[in-house]
Amino acid sequence: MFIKQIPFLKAERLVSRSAFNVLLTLVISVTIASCGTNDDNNSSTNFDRSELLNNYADNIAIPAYEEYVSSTNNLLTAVHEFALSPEDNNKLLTCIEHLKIVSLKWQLASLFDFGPASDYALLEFTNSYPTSTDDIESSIGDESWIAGQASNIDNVGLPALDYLLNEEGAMDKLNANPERVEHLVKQVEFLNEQGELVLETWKSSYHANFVSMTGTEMGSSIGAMLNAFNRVFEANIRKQKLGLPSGVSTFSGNPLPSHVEAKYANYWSIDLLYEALLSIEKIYMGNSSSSNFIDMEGVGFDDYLISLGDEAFGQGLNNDIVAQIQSSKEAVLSLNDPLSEFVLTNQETCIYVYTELQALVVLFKVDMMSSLGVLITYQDNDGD
Amino acid sequence: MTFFASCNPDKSGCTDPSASNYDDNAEEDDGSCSYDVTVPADYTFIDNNGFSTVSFSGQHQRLNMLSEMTTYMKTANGGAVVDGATLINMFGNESHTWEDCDNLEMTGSSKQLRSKTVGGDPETVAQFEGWMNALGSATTGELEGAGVVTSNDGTKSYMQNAMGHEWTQLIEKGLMGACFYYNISQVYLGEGKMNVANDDADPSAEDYYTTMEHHWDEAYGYFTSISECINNDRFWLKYATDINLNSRNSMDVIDLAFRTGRAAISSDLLPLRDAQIQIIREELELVCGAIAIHYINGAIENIGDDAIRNHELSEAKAFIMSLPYGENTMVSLADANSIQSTIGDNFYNVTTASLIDARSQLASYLGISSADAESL
Repeated sequence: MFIKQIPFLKAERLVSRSAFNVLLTLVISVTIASCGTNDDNNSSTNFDRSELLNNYADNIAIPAYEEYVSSTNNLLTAVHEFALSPEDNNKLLTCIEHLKIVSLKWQLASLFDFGPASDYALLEFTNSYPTSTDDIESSIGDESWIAGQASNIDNVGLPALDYLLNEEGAMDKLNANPERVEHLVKQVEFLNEQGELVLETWKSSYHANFVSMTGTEMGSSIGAMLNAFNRVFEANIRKQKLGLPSGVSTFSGNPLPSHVEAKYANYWSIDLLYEALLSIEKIYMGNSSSSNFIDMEGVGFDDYLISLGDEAFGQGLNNDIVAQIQSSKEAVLSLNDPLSEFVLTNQETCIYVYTELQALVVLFKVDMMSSLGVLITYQDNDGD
Repeated sequence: MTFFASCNPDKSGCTDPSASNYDDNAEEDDGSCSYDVTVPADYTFIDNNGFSTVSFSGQHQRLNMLSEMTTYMKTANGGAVVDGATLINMFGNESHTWEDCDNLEMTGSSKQLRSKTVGGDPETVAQFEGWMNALGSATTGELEGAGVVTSNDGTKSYMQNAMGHEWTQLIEKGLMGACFYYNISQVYLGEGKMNVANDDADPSAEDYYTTMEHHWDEAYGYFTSISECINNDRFWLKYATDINLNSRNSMDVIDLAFRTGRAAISSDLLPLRDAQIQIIREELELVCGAIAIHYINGAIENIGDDAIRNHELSEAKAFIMSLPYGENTMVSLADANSIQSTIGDNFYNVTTASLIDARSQLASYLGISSADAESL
């Protein structure tokens, strides 16, 4: 049996209210916009994408991993030395100093979350927080515990090390329990090993692959890199580092101070957020990350946009992005450590900083992607 | 049978070009648009080659997950020990072996309730997991004041905490809101999942449905009761069936809107689809609020029976808590909290007056008359 013809009252325009839906909407606008601009933009420019990819591989991605791995090597040496004399407070302090360096170096490396990093789930194993302290405690002394199991994502990586090294009374706890120190060493070994694996894969095989896929279609290197860049910025920087702790991204709007990054160190959260923005800037500009080539101007997405000409979606967009990166960085400096307390006392300021970051997300994810004719292929919330 | 609204002589009429009675001269829409669309009597949609274009197996899995969790939690009412960690594993579908009576390959599947609960909102997830742990501790006697409470007539027993909260209800009905209702109203019928491709079906690659059709089906999946092995109606379909306000049955309204909207999508009539979205959202919100009122009434009737009153109030609490999870709701989170505080947190101390007060608040937000509210 069939019913035909349903009369209806014209619906109000559907207005999405939550930040969540606004995000989803952005995904769509990109898709639609890129259909219109894809061809003309790409065909009207002689931009050398191969040079761009070589610059990203040789001067940014690989050096970023090298510096990150070098910092995890140093941390490993420090914990090995601490393990030999766990009563030595200075040795612990050295470990903590190195952990902070690793955490800072991680920010740039984290933005290359595709290819080898994605194969080894580097981001998930390295920086998923808040960490499960219950799981960390129960795995201490457990011979069968294997760091790389998927179920351990919530108790390994930088957040677990932050807990073991920076929690209140860390020194006494470590000094009193050799198994705790052993677990610390295991954790750092795993962190280091993961970084080395990804770096090696980039150098040995992925590099050639990466620089050869010069298109902008799905599966191309530019597509993979820009999708990761946008996704990490949106989810791991904007939402995780600030949105959740400040309550901008929670359903209730209540701040979640326990969700700040490096919460046991307590005074690192803003440095890490700032470093993340510097990393965003480096990648956008294509500037070398290697300390041997400080401020080396390479061919980056800024040049790609400029090559599109003196248009709103070309040079004009580049100007907007550069300005917005600047104001985002300035905004972050209006936050104060410890962020876990600041989100409770100064939520308004946090919301202001968040809107600055959000404006940058839109410029990258909607405008830049459309100008470059690259599709966003990830979603904020998976289907099915 | 075809229905055409008559055209107005002035400048109002149907302004939607996709309507069959589109009026080129009309400047203001008068709600008269009608459409040539075939709406099937049940939710069956097939393509030209006879292949079904409907799929919502992920939703089916999650409905079954919640059913299994509920069955397990209810064993606490009979005095059994319930393990909080097991419940949390079920919630996240981590290392849990499901009974899986519909053979959906739930064990080890990527589908889970947790990440879909208000999009994985950490605060909401923590609240549910906290209740799961508390229920577990209560069943081993580790939680002071918690225990199985039996009704005055001795026929009903419920595991409740010291304030009369029944975790099983808060979790089951709460997830109906935070997961199923949220995903229908805000996610799958939201702009992000609706402003998508509607021409990308590719039967030669066994992709029988468009992205938009699929998202619509996913919304519908969360509303259904679908199961081969579970015979009783469950979740939203069951509750919507119970609500008959304003001379209509809510299940009929929602079901028709889902079928009409799906047919509209397949005919690419998006304004017609949008009208159905509006109907579904509003009617589901009405169901959610009406059910909360129904349970408040149950508590009023059984005010002197601790077990029953607390049970009814736990149900009511979960449905009130669910109201803000809809899109553009009449009841905000602050409103819902205010209604809860009118009832009072300790169910042993509630008064009939405070319950009547909470009922009036709810009814007024939802536009339900006081006569209707009393009879729910």
